[in-house]
Amino acid sequence: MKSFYERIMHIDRRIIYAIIMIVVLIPLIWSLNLKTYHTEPITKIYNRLEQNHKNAKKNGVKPKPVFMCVTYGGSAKPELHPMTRSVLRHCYLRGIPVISFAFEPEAAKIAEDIMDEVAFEYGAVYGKDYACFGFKYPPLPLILGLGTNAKEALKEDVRGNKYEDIPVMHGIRTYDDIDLLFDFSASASWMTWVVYAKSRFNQDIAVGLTGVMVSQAYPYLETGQLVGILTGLKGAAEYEDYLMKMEKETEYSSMREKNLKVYLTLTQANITPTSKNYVDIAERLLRNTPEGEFEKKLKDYYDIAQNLYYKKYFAKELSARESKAKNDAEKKSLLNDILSQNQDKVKELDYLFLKDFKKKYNDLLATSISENKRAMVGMDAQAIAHVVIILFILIGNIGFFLSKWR
Amino acid sequence: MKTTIPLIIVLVGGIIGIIFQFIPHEFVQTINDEILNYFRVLSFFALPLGIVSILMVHTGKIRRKAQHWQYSIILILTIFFMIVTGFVFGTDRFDPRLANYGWNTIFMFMFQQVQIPIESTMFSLLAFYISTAAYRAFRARSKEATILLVASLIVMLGQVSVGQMIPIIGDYIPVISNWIMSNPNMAAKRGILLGVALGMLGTSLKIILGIERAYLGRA
Amino acid sequence: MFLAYTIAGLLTLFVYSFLYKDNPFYRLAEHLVVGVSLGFGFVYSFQQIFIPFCWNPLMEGHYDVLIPALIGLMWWPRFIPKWAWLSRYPIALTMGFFSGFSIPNTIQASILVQVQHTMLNFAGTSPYGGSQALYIFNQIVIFIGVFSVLIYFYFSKPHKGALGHISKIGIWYLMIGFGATFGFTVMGRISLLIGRLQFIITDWLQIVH
Repeated sequence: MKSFYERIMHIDRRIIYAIIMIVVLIPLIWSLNLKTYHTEPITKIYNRLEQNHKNAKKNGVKPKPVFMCVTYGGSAKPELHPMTRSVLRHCYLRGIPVISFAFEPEAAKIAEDIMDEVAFEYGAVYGKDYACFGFKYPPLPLILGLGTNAKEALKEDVRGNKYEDIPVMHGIRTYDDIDLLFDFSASASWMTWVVYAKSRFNQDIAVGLTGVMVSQAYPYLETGQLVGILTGLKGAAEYEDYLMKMEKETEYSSMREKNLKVYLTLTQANITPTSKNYVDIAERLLRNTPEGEFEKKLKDYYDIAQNLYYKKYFAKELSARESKAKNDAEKKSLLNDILSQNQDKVKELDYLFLKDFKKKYNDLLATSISENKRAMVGMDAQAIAHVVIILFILIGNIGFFLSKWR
Repeated sequence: MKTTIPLIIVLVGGIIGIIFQFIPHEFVQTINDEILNYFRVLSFFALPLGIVSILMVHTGKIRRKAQHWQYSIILILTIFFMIVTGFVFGTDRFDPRLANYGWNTIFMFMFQQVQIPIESTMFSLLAFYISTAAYRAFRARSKEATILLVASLIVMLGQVSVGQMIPIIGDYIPVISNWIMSNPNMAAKRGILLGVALGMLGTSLKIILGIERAYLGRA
Repeated sequence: MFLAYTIAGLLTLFVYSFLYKDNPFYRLAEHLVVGVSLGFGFVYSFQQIFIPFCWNPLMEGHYDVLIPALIGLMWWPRFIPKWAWLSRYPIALTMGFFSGFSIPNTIQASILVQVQHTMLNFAGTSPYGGSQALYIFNQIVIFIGVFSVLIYFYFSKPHKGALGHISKIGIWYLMIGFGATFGFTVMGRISLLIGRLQFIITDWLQIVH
C-alpha cells in the first residue's frame, strides 16, 4: 500500500498531460471573458504609434512609416502572430505606412500573408500603404544598410517591384525618415537591432518577444534602448484590448464591412490581390468613390463575378456553341443568348450565387472578428493553465515535505 | 596559403570593419554599402551547404540501412519535391480563407498545411514537458530554491487575471510582479548581460588578432 | 478548405501522438517537416536573395558581383577533404568584418549604456512613473543587484569573506531573475499549446467560431 505522499509525488506523466490538455481546451470552447490589465511596456508602444498619428494630423501630413522585421517561423507563431496582427491593425487604422522584411524564409512568407490578410480588412492598399520586402539575409547588411542607403539594402519587394517604383517608399532614404522599427522575434535578432540600429543610428526600436526571452529584454527597456516590449501572449492580448476600444470609439465596424465587401467582390470577379489591376481598383473603390456611388460602382464588379459564375455553369454549352461561331462578335454574344434562353435557370443561379456570396462574406467577417481577439481568448486558457501548474508545483512540494517529515 | 592568408584577411577585415563605424564620409559609406551587399551574395552560396550536409547524412543512413532508414527516403524526396514544385509551379500565394481562390501552388500548400502546423505542434509539446518538470523538479529544497519558486509563482500569477481575483493580496500581485520584472530581475539580467558582452568583445578581439582560430577548422 | 485543414490537423495529431510514445506517425511528421523547410528555404533564398542581389545586377552589367559570387563558391569544396581549406576564405571574410562591426557597437549598446544607467542618480525620474522615494529605492535595488551579480561571476578570487557575502546576494538576485524567466517561459510554452488547440477547434473542426 503506497502512502499518501508517495502517491501524490508520483502521478503518471500522461495524467498530467491529459489534465493540461483539458484545462487549456475548456476555456477555449466556453470563453470566460477574463479581463487583462495593462502594463507599461505595451502601453508605451501603443502611445508611441498614437503620437505619430496625432503629430501627422496636427501638421496635416501622412504619418511617418514604420519598419517591421518579422523573425519567427511556425515554432513561435502562436505567440507572436497575434501581436504582429495587432500592430498591423493599429498602423492600417491610423494610416501609418508599414514596410516589412524578414531574416528567415518562412518568416518572410508569414509576414507577407499577414500583411495582406489584415490589409483587406482595413482597406490598406499594397504599395500605397504597405510594402513587403520579404527575405533578407544575412541580417547585418540590412540593419547597417538601412542606416545609409535603404534603397540599396532593400532593392526589390516580394512582388518583384523595384524600390523606386513603390509609392510608399518614396521619401524613405534612411532610418531618419521612419518613426519606429518593430522586431517580432523568436531569435536573438532583436538584440542585433538594438546593438546596431539603436547604438549606431539612434533608431527607436520596439520588440515583440516570446515569453522565454522577455525577461532578458528588460535591461534595454530600462535604458530606453527599447521603446517597449510586447510580452508574449499577454502583451498581444493587451494590445488587442486597446485596439478593440479604439475601434469602438472610431466606429470602425461599418468600415470593415465595406472593406471586406470590396475584397470579396473583387476576388470573386477573379481580380485577385496579386493581379496587376487589383491595387488600382481597390484604391478607387475604397478611397476615391463618393459615399453614394459606392454601391453602384461595386455592383459592376459584382456583375462580373456573377457572369463568371454563369459561364462556369453553362461551360459545356458555351464551348459547344463557340466551336460553331463564325466570328468574335458572335462569340461575345453567346453567353447572353444562352442566358436569355434559360431565364428560369438564371434566376435560380442568381439566388445561389447571392447565397454563396453571403456565406463567404459572413465567414470572412466572423474569421476577422475572432482573429482580432485570438490572444484575449487565449489568455483565458492561459489563466486556468497557470493556476493548474501552480497547483502541480504545490502538490509536488507538499509530497516532498511530507516525505522529508516522515 | 591555407592558414596565413585567411588570418590576414580576418585582421584586415576586422580593422576595416571597426574603422568604417567611425567615418561618416560619403565615400567610405558607399564602399561600406557595397561590401554589405557583397556579403549577401557571399552568404547565399553558403545556404546549399545545409542541404548537401543533410543529404549526405541521410544517404549514408539509407546505404547503411540504419534504424528507420525508410524515413530518410521520405525526407530526401520531400526536399526535391519542394524545390521542383517551387521552381516549376511558382511560389504564388495560397489564401486559406477563400475556397474558390483555392490552393494556387502546391509549394505554398506544403508550407502552410505541412510545415507550419508540424513546427508549431512540435514546439507546443514543450507545454506538457514544462508542466511535468514544474511538478517533479520545482521543489523548495534550499533557501535559494525557495526564492526562485516564490519569484516564479508571483510572476506566473501576475501575468494572468486570475491573480487579481485572490482576495486581499490580489490587487498587489500585478504590481509586485511588474516590480520584480523591472528591478531585481532586470538587475540580474543586466549583470549577466555585462558579462556576456565583455566575453563577446574578448572573443571578437581574439578572432581579429588571430588568437582564436577554431572557426577555421582543422587543417 | 476543410480538406486542407484536415491535412494540417491530422499532422498535428501525428505529432501529439508522441506524448504517448514514439511511433511511426510522429517520425513521418518529423522527417516531412525537415524536408519541407529545407526545400522551402532553398527556393525562397534563390528567389529573394540570389535573383535581386546577384543575378539582376549581373544582367544589368554590374560584373563586380562576380567577386563575392566566386568567393561564395569557395564554400562548396568544404566536403572535399583535399580542398576544404578553400572554404576558409569566405569564413575569414565573414568573421573578420562582422567581428569588426560588432566591437564598437557592442561596447556602446551592451556595456556603456548599461553601466551608465546602473549608476545611482537620485535626481532622475522613473521611466515607469511612481513616487520619487520608490524610484530612489529601486535605483539602490538595481545597483546592488548588478554589482553583486558581477561579483558572483568574478572567479579570479575565492568567494570568501566580504566577497562571499556579496556573491551570496548575487545568487539571490539571479534566483529571482531565473524565477521570473521561468514564469514567463511557462506562459510562452502554454501559449504555443493554446495556439495549436485554437487551430484545431476554431479553424479545423469549427466547434467555436
